Amino acid sequence: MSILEVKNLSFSYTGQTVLKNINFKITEGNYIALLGPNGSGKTTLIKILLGLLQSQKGKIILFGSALKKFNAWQNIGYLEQKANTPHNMPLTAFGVVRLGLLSTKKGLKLFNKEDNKKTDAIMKKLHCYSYKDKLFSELSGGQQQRVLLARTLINEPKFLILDEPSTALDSSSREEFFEIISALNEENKTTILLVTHDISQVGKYVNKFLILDKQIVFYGSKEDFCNSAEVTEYFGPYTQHLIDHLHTTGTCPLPHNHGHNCGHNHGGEML
Amino acid sequence: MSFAEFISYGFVQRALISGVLVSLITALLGVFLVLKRLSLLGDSLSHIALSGVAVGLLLNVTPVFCALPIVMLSSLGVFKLSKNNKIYADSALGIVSSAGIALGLIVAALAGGFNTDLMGFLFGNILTVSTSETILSIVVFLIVIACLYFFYNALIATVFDENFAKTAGVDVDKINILLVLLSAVVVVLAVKTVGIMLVSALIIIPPTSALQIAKKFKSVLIYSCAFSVFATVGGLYLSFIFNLPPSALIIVLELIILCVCGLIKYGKARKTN
Ligand SMILES: Nc1ncnc2c1ncn2[C@@H]1O[C@H](COP(=O)(O)OP(=O)(O)O)[C@@H](O)[C@H]1O
Ligand SMILES: [Mg+2]
Repeated sequence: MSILEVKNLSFSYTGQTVLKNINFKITEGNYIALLGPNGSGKTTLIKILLGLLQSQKGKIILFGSALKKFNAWQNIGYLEQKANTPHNMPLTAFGVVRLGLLSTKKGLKLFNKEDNKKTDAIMKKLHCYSYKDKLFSELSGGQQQRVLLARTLINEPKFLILDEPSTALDSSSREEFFEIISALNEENKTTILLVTHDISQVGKYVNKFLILDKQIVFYGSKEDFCNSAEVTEYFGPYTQHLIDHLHTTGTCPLPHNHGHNCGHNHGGEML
Repeated sequence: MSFAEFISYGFVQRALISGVLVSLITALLGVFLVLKRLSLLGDSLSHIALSGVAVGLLLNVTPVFCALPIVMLSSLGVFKLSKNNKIYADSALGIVSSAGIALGLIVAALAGGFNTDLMGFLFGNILTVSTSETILSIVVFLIVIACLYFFYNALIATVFDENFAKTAGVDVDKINILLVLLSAVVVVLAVKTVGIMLVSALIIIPPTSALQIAKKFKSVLIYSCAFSVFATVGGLYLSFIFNLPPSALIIVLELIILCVCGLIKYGKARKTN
């Protein structure tokens, strides 16, 4: 089943072209790492996909319906890179997570006991239950991020769009987080579009790469990525780091030009 | 004068009813506006109300009913200007605010200068509230309560994080338009009770006080209403005792409450550290 289709998409902020002629398709069960240097248009692309920004050109089809007509928001879980929340909002962590259920409500959007139970459950799963009654604005950056993740995952959306979700997390939380969403992909066939720079950590889980730099540099499976001429050309001397890195995580079939042996500790972080 | 005697006058009753209702509406809407960093919306719209009132005086139409459509249209203008960050919201408010004053001054000059009528609107004249204005405040109050009930969680989501709210299926534009339109109406009503110069105090101070001491959204709304009503009734009563302008006394009481809330918050913070 096709989850998302992007056709001939172009976008510019007043004068400055940020996305040029973007075409790609995401099908059910895909777990895609969206990679690209800072400023390459990843966040912009995602905001357009969700209708938060309007593109000048192109067509977006979400779950089979044109974006303008799309209304099955309960299928979408979105975590913004930098959410802009008021610093004095009188809302507890629990209250924030529960808001994730809004998209499942039609008509009067009121919460009931069942919703509270669901909220408790997801907060326990993501280990943020211990501060559920604290004000969201008084939590640390990493704690806030866990709470927002819980809000995103609470109604088990079919399509997760996560924009650098792991930035504020410490390294063990990061590992745990990637395990949680990867399990969703494996067990529930949840489709995931993940913007990340932690390629070393997600390399073993994802099954596709989308490399963006104002236009699509590469889109395809992990295997093709390791052998792709475009990738080699785009990353130049760094390619080998990247591919070596994927080897050490055991996810890339041996390419033909293997042999160049660099340290692999820094390889995955360069994007 | 005793409180019982004070409350037995007809004009005092109308003043109390519409004063209390207006302070409830501003206290409720104010919470959302303050959290959305739109607290100066009231200020800008009240300046537009000056233009509206002046047009009313010029055309000899009831000023409040003349100001109403003008202020509502301008509030939509502010919404359009600040949408998608085309202009920063605070700049949009500043622009609209100064436009309101400039046009107001011109129309007021054409209408015969600063007579006592206009002064009444600048500094409030709660004791001259008419029956139709009282009815209008009852209607608006009921609308606000209904909106709060129907859109409570959608409002919270919108105030907390608009992008999230949109991807949760909330019609954020609709919610924002509702908020600015209701603000427009209450600003016009409040111009009669506290005056153009002090409207924004009514929208900003009680919610800010409540935010100092309350931790839950519902308690913020309740505290805000309680502070606002207490200040309005108290200010009105004190104005009879001391023979001073009620609008000024209302705001002074609100400021005292704000200081007390600030002290309570400070005290709590010291205790926990
Ligand atoms: N609101 C904005 N107005 C103008 N330019 C912007 C805005 N947001 C981002 N940009 C520009 O668009 C480009 C892409 O940004 P972004 O999509 O955030 O990149 P990424 O998420 O890949 O780091 C950058 O050059 C950035 O400067
Ligand atoms: Mg980004």
